Amino acid sequence: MWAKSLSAIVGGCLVSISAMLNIYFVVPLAIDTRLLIALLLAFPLWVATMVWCYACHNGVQAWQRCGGLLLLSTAINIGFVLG
Amino acid sequence: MKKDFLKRLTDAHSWLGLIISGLLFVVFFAGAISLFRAEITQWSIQPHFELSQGQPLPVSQVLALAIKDQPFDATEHLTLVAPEQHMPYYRVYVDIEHQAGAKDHVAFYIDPVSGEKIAELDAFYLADFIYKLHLDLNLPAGKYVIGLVSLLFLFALVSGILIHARKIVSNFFQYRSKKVGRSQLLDLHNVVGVMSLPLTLMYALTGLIFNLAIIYQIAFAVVLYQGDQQALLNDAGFQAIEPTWQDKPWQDPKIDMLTKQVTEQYGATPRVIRMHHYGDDSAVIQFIGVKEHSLTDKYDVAYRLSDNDILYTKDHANPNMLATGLYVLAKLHFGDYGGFDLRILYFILALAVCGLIVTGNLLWIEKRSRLRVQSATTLLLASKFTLWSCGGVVVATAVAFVCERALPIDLIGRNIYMMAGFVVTLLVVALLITIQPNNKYSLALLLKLTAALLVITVVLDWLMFSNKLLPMWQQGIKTVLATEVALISVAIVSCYLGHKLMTQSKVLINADVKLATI
Repeated sequence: MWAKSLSAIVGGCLVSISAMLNIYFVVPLAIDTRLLIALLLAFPLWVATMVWCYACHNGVQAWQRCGGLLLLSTAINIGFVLG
Repeated sequence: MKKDFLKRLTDAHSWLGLIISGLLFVVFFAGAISLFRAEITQWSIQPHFELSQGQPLPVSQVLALAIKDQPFDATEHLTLVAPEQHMPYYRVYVDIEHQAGAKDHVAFYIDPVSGEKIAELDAFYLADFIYKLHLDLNLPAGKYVIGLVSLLFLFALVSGILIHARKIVSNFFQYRSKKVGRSQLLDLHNVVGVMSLPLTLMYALTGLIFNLAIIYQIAFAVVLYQGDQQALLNDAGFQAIEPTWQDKPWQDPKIDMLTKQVTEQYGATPRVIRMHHYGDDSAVIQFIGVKEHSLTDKYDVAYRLSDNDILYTKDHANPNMLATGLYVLAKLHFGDYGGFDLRILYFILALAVCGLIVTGNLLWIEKRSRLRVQSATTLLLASKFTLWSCGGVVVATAVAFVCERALPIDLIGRNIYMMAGFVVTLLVVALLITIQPNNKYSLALLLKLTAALLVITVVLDWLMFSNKLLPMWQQGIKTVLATEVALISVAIVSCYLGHKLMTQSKVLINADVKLATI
């Protein structure tokens, strides 16, 4: 339970930050609108990741799921920042 | 949905629910009372002071009176919060010269007609204390604790929806009143959960945004703005006003003319007037105003006083989506976009969520005691904790009301005594429920005690201000008597519930005694 909680809270937070940065880069709107959209979507996404983590068999599986998603999202972040 | 998935989610839902239940109850209970923060503040202050009759002083004069005899630090700010329906006085915040780590401002009330300083803001702290309990538990890093609680609460809501999804429609009206124990508790938990869902989702999300948005702010500032927080804040609509100090006295600033101009332009008097570099040639005046009962209409304008030029304008014609969005979320959270009736609805729903929290804990205890998967000590601890965190907070709040009324207003550190009353009551309740083995009986006692304390508060009102209460009503100040009616109503409900619970617990005790005799 504790390992799943850690992955849900910490991993979920990192995934949501990374995904929101991607949304910020992708959405073709004014900056303030993009910031608002990111802020409104960030927490539901964090909680969705938490649900995904808690639905795992154990902490290792939760970290694997979360880590995979984070790696993918971070790679896209890097692409946007460098590109 | 797979059975395994639901089982794991139910485990997480119930465990996390139990962990956050105490703090969540405090947040919702204090939040429900804070919906009437303005009314409670007026109830606290008004009987102590006569309301001056006549024309209000111009803003420029109130500003000058505010810094009189104060070690005012002109390089900082001077802020006025204008009188409104339930607060007939200016609230003034003066930044003062101070040593590092010492208090950096003083705050007090000023009569808008006589200009007299009425009292320190902290002298009547009850409403703010309860509000801060809702915001950050009155703790230094409480904001982040509440943020985490909100996160887990949102998770509990989403997991609750998933767990209950298959039966969410068919069981919506199901309340098995004839059944006992678990069915009844479960139905109550589910029905209240579903009915309050729009409100709870909104509360959880807005609570998260208010408390934990800093995480995204930092991440966005680092990645997108190369660490420049202010650049991000500018884009977010939160411009910093940082004029350069000229060290030259100002020449005939048109404060009153600008106040009048802004009031006429927006059709609403500014709620907040903030001076930057008061008295210096670099002075800037900022007006923030809202249209009553409007969900989106707000303005924030800043003028340079040396030439009356506009520094920036944020209003419906020049909106910033993020600032407006956050403003709308705040309005939704506090329910002050509608009338009094909307706040009553919010109040009822918030108390229903308190019930949701308690039934959730009782379900956890009941299920685990039936399945015998938890030790007796853990179950006892969970039940005592539920009783203490819910019943204890209710009684402690009632004690805070008595203190607010009974303590002399010239008592130095009046707010500290009031807060001490709250904390000591929590400790005494913890002791009481540890000694008393029957939880139902303890809860009944706590409810009856709450009722008695609320009645004492109203009796004190009449003993101390019997000659003022009715004239105030005749003057149109109805808040004080209306608050008394509300306190008595809560006392009646508490007394009734306490009486019912006490009867039930006595029946149970008698049955136990008979069983033991046999």
